[in-house]
Amino acid sequence: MKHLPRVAILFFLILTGNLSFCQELSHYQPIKIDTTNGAVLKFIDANFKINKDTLTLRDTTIRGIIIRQCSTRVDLVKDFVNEGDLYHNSIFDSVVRKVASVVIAANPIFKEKIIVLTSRSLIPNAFNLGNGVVVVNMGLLSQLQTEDQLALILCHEMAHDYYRHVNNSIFSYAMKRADKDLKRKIKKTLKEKYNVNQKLEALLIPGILEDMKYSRMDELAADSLGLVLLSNTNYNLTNAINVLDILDDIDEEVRIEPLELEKYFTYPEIPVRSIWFEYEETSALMKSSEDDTKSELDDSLKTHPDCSLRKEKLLEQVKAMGRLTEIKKEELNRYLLKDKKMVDFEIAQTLYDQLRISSCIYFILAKIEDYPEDYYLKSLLSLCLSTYSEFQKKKNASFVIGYNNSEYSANYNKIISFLNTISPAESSALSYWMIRPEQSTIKNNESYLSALLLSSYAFEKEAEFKECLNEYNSKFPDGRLKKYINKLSKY
Amino acid sequence: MKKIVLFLFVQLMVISSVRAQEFKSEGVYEFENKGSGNIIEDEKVVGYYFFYKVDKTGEEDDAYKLTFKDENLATVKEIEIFKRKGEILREVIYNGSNFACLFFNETTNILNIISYDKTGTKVGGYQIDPIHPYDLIKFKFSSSSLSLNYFKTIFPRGREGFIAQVSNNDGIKGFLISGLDNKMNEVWRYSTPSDLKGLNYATVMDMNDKYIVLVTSRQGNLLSGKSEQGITVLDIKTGAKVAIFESEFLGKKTSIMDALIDPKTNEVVVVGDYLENAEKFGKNPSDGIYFARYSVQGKEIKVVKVPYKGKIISSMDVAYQKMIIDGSARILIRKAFLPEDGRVVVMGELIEKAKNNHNVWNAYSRPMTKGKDDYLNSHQIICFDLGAKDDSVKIKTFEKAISSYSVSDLIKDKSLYICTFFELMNGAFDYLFNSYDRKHDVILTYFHDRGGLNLKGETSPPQFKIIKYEKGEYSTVNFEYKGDYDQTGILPAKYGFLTLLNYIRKERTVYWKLEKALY
Repeated sequence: MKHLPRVAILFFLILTGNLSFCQELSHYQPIKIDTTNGAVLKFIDANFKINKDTLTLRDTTIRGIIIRQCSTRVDLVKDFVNEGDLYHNSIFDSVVRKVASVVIAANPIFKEKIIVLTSRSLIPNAFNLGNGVVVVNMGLLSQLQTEDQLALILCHEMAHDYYRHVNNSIFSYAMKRADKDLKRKIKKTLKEKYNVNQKLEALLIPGILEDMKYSRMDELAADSLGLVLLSNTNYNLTNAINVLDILDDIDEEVRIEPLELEKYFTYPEIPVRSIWFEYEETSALMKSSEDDTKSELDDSLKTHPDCSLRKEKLLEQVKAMGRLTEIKKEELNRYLLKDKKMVDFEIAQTLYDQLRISSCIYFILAKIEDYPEDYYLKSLLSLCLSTYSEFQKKKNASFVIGYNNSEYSANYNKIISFLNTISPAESSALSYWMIRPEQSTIKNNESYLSALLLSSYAFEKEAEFKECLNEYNSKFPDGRLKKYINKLSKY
Repeated sequence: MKKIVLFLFVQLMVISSVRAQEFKSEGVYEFENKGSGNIIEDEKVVGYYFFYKVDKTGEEDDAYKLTFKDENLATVKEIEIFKRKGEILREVIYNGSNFACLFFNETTNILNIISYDKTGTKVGGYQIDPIHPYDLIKFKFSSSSLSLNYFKTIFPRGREGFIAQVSNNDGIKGFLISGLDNKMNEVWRYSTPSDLKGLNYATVMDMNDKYIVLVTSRQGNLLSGKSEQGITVLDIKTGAKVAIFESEFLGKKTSIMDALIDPKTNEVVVVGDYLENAEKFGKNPSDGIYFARYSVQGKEIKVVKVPYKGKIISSMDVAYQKMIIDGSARILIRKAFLPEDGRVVVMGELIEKAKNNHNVWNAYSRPMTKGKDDYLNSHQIICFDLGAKDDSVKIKTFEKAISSYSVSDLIKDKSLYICTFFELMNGAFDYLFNSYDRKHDVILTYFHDRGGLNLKGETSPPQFKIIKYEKGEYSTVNFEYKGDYDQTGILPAKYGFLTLLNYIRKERTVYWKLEKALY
């Protein structure tokens, strides 16, 4: 019994510690960047050996070009891994791997011949690198509604791999580069006195157009075979081909209602200047040319046929397979990645990691009202502003923010204009004051501590900065900010 | 028109395709600084023009592209132009609805003003042939569209058209001011000998929706140092003469460096140098700077003189006083402004004629390896501020490193005044540009500090400086740059920004970047 008070105190400490831990866990912790994906590197080493036929090619020029192209491709994948551009053991790559395993199980010819990677890139795209490597970008994944759609995308890319489209295009590129007749003509043209550029275009454009033609044919072939591969699974084909509608509708704004920037950037400690929030479309020149109808690229000049055309062809094929079904509306009004918060936060974090500050702020403000209980987005907003102020001080602000453009939405233009108006001192003050009230409760959250650290640096609070730095180093020895911290040289 | 709304990802794609927020002009076979510059509307930068060779097409002509960019560097229009060899683009003016481009053929000495609408369609042309030798000098040497009105040829005439100024050589030497519509049809013409014999030069200085203010001169021109300058006011709609100022003050003992119409009162404000006792600027240094105000009919309202040996010297650091006293340095007035509060603000540059040089530059801002014997040294930027109600003048000086410009052998024996004008025409000196933001009533003056020592022995790095004048108060901001952009250029941009251009010859690409300098 004499140990009871000590046990009680210990129990109390554990309990309260857990409570505070739980409280901090309720604020998002971004997915760790992993640069040690051994499985990918092993696959690359095993599958990207230069083909024997290539090594025995007599034409040394063609051989050299192919080898160079192939090693560039290997370097690209290795860079993905080393730079932490691939998700590894996260919710995002696990959903992709799960669907891929279903597709491969139904199509055993791909067993152990395909590796599907999930990239952090926000460009809505998926691609095949040849030799069994398929990459799905987060930008596309976050837009998909069902596993059926992801399955079709994977099948499409696997079909490209089956047909060796990438390797064929490398070979065709090498053939063109090594074409002695073409080289001779180019050399001759370069020596000519007049219209050199025009003549070079005339020499090269037919080849480019031919490539486009083949590329379009390759896409249709991959669509067709992809659907056959998908038909071997139990996925719903009709639902799957709706992915083409998603690709077509991708130009929809995140937030339609006008952003009230005052709401997010007004703090009692900082005098607000009215011009911060003034935005007028000032580009008189651009406005005046709006009547000029912008010519759309002719469909035949695109590498990918229009989505509507592709959908039409796929629908015919699904009908012929007798797999056309009716899709319920509710099936489409959802997302494949159900944890929307995690998706949104991950997109925001990626934007920050890529130093797309104006885009990141735009995205944060569009989403911040959806997650009032989580402090993560506000921390990231502060990080954006402190980072931005450092670029401003170095007279290099344009590196991290976009330029106003009448083709952008009013909300995005407003943010660019705001960022251009605030001074370096104001952006650092905003970054500092916007996160100060909560510091006692959530200091164990990496993003929050990062924000405290960078904002105290930007706002020149030396003692606070040093304190945060020590805390960050001890709590997050492998933290995201590590690579930036060494560059903070002021103190 | 349907508003284009882009999804965030599309924006990201756009951003990622312009790495580091730079815009590219590709396929630039050849270009020169003369072919690029600001598009100005109502004293503000609203865009840029960029003219470059894309291909050699034959013995007689080459293929060029003329690109108009908006203030945020987005391409508004690209026009393909086949142009005769020897033809250079000298000026581009925007009047709010059309562009007028002045092409000068160095071989034939023919001037062509071509008008394009906003869709890039050519809507008209106006040819001036032959032109007077005075103007030939201007077209052959003048390097920048940002220089004094004396070296310009086209001006906006509201949104309805343009004004062209040249000296004609059509049998009788004289000037020609033409009012053109947007299709380049001549709506009116004001010239010698048809109007005023004896006047032989005219320069458009300012205009509003009613009037055009011209500086006219008798007996030679500014370069001859013999000029007797005066003011003529024309009706902008008809070209009819409204008034020729018969002022006792304005005449052969004054120069006119700028003349403006007060938008509120239609009064004409004139600024320049004056001589107290001496007769000619060609031989004597000026005795001071004056501000004069006239009614549009030419009635003198007031004249305020600011003598060098008095107010000006006392406002200067001791280091600069000696060269003012001995007459080797004078202030070159670059631009005058009329802010909302009724003041008159004048920006000038202190220029010294000397045998010693410092950091020698030629006309295109590239350092020269070897100097000659006579130099014009640019020392400071100086602002004069004449009060609205009283006649008090505030003078403020802004330090920069000394930059030297070698004086051509042709004019080295001429006075400081004449040498300064000649070198200015070649693109010399460090003042760059003024913009006036009417909405916020803020004047921005851009100048180049090329780095090095000033006369006080202080050093500065190469940088651009911007002086902000707001309601009688000055503040400055420095924009240091690394060598990369020095090769191609930095242009004043929209309010508070600078545009940086970098030409990578190997890539045949010009990279454009917009950077904020002033908050």
